[in-house]
Amino acid sequence: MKRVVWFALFLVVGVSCLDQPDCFRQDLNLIGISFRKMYDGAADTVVLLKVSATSTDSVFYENVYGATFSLPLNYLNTNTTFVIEQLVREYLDGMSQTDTMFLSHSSKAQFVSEDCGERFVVSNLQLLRSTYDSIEVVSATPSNPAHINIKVYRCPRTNIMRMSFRQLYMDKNDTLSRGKLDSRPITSIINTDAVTTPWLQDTTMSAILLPLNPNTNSTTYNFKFDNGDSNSVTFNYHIGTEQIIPKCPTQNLYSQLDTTTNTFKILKISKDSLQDPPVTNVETFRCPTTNEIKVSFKQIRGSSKVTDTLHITSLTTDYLGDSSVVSADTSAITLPLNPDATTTKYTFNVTGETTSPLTLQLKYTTTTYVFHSVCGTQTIFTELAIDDANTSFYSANMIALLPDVRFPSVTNIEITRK
Amino acid sequence: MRKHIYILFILLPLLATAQKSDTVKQKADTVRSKFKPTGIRFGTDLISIGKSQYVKTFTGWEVNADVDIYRYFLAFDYGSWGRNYSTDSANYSNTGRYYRVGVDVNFLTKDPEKNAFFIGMRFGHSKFSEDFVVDLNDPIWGFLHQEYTNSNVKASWLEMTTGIKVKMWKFIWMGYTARYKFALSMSKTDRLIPSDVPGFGRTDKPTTWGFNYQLFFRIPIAKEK
Repeated sequence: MKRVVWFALFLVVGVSCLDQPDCFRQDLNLIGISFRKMYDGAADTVVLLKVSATSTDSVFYENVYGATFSLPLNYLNTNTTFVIEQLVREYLDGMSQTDTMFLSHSSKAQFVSEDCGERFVVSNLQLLRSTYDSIEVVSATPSNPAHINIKVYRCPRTNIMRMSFRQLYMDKNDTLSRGKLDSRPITSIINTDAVTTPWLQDTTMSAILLPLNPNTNSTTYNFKFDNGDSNSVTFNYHIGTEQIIPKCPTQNLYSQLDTTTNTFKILKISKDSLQDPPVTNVETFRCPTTNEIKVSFKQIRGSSKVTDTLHITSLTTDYLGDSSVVSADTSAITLPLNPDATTTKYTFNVTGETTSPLTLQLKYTTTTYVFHSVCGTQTIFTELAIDDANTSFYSANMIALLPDVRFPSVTNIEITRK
Repeated sequence: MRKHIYILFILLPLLATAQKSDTVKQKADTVRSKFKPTGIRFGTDLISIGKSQYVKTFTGWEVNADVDIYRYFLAFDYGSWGRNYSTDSANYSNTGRYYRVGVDVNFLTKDPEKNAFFIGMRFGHSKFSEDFVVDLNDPIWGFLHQEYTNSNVKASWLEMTTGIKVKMWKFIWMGYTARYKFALSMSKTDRLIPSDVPGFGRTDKPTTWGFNYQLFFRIPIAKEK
């Protein structure tokens, strides 16, 4: 009896070890296509308007952008032909370009299980022909998920220039330093050849790519920034032709880049010829702002000092007049100093204050200094102090933290409410 | 790698023998008589028979034999294996014969009833054919009705085995063998990738497990010392 139990136990263990089929793999028929730039081999983001194959009504992609895409091969056949419609922007107008890719491959079937059915394993991928300028098969084995099997290279785009925005600082450098990249909120950038269709709109960028008109020797762009600044610049250039890469047709070469009209205060041509990928050709600079101070609001809570939020309904300065703040909760505020006087008075209307409006008057000494020769002589502010006699703003708790105005602005005044 | 495994497979019993070499020299006559086979066991796999009866997708049988040489069993298995699966889009069937040869090392050498707890190795070989009919409607590429066939595909593999054989009554032994199967190689096929190798199992994984539950009849061929 003991032996029977012994064997029955092993029988249960044995039966549990029997092959239980499960869905282990899917069809191995996906290929990855990578779009690249011929110039440096880097990934190239493209807009695919439509991707289909000749032997099916299915559309694999429609109006998508990216640098790599996966496509299924026809495992029921030994050939697959893909038709790829791509958006190409030579200048301002987008136009579509349709290319075809003729591929051959072999396919093997395999039964997987009763639950999973069959699968197909595609291999031996080969490119028969294509209408692309340059294309290569880098892996002949499709997979699932796809990895890169085919690389498509495009010819250089030669008419794209790069323009960057930079900010100069109060760094007492008498020569033009390059400052730092300045991310600027842009309302619109309009090419005058297409005034109804902004090239860029409602974005924040520190560098932009601008196409030059291949049919003339000048291109004009109008800039509108979020802070109200408007600028215009006309670029002039020389167009030559050359076959840059043997696989590509003769292409335009843009050189001798310059400006004829320009309303940016400082604009510098850093490279007068264009290349792909684009490098910075033009830099614009903003001079440092020397008359802005920052005021922060605090309150005493227990034994510690914490941030205080004021609801300011209006704020005026004695030399500008206009209300610069209307209805805002704020714990810090940037204020301009009058460069033509030695005092500036600010009037605040604050919700919930019994003595509103509140006043703050600052006194200071002004001198002039040349930080950057291109910016000219600028006023600098020192010996900043609170004029208590003309201040009603928690006057007993005001602390002058920094007597000099700096850029970017730092907290010079701290107003503490008990 | 596989060459090393074959060498290990051949040397395993020799290595075990080498440990006892001094004793062998001193008692040569005694050992010589120990190495004489004392019986042959013939058996069959009850799981294959049971599966053929109750699992509608399987038909098969397997017979086994071993002969004892001191603490070693020379083992030979021969079997038939067929699968038949139907799905909504495919019908698959295969059929083939296989054999396994190898050596088991028994660790219960002093058991008077010839019970065995063993570890061993096998070389397996199979020859089989497959039929696969696909009838599907792919949402992208359309309809396919295709029949694929593989004929006389040859496959071989290795196994590590372990198990027990216990005397139940007079000439009847029962036992089980667990098999760890690996190093599968197959002859090239054209358009159909083999799915199931008789004697080995599914081909989607490089290794697999097998299990036999066996009934043996032992025929003594020499008087036991």
